[in-house]
Amino acid sequence: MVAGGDRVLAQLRRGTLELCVLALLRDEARYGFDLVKALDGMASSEGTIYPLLGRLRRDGLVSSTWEESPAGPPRRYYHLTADGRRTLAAYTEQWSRLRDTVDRVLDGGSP
Amino acid sequence: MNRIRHRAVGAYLRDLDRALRGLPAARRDELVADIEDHISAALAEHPEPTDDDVRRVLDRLGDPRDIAREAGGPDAPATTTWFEVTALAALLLPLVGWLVGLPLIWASRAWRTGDKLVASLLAVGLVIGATVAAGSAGESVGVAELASLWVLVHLVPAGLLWRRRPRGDALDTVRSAPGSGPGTDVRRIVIALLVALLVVPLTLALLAGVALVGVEAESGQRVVTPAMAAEVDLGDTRDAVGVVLGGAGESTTVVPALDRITVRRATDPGRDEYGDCWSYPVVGDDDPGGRALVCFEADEVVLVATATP
Repeated sequence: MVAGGDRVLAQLRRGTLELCVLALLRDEARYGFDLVKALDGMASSEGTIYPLLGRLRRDGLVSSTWEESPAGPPRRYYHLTADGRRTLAAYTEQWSRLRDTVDRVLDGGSP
Repeated sequence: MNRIRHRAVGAYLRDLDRALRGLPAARRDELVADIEDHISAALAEHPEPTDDDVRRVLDRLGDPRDIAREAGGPDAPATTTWFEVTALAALLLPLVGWLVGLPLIWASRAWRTGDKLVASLLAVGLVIGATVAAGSAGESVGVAELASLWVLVHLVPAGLLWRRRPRGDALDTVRSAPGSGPGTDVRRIVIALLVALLVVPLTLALLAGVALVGVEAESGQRVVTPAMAAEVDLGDTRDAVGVVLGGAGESTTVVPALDRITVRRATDPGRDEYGDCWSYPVVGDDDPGGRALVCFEADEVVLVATATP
């Protein structure tokens, strides 16, 4: 890999992580470990999901409730708020445009 | 709760806690708890987690410093604010320190619960210890003692909290974290109860102390502490109260009361006299010819004072 490639990948992952977390919460509430598993290695350090979730909660994009788990301690479930839903819709639209542009540039076409 | 008691997990959580030092205590505690829950959930997938399983889970979590970096984003608030400075300033003042300073410190999110607890116990415990020591010494308190008491009770806890304050970028308002789970709510209730438990009896004890000190015995020279009441042994009647002053461990001598006296109450204008006060001769070498004034309310000794002729 070329120098700086790791850094670019890390930033790519980091930038899209928030979008993916919001998207994973679109249809169902999930708890932290469940989200980490669903993201499947997207975050270079799984632990960084938790500060991100905290920030999303403070920004009002997700809310959290404690729910009993079938086994073990209660879990903190994260839900998408109405604000979070709007933000996700906006991000999704931006993402499609960005992805199309990047794809065209990478394929050698003009943007 | 099935907590994982693995050495590597403990070390990891401690490293994380240290790395998060710049954050407000509430967020720091919450993040550590989140990560701890994550580790529990991840290890629950192994019926008998081996050391390797534990290491793999921790490796995947990543370097605690990366987590701290992610947590300390642009919205990470600076942590020592005017609020904390006010709380510490209030803590330095006698009496106000307990009534205002301690509750403010508990209300602040900047300090960790452990630090708050240590400072409160120091502030309260030291004064109780000093009172007991002064009471058993049975001596009047001088300026030097008051000064060292002030240093112990106010300066030491305030200094400790100042040293343990989180160091943020600048003095700024601490942002509150909305939507916290029941865990933090329960903790806040417990904290409020603890503060009430500390402050209410302390206030009552202080007011009682102030009331005693404020009493002007009719011909009294000094008023002794409530601890002296323990040295008064109620006999069968008011006329036979043994008064032993000036030395612990002396045997109780029963002496008849000399006469009934009036003791004015300085602090309670509504009831301007103590109900039932008697004067006794002091038995002992310290105050020859001295008088002990003892007041009763509902058969309890409420005031002991000595008067030197």
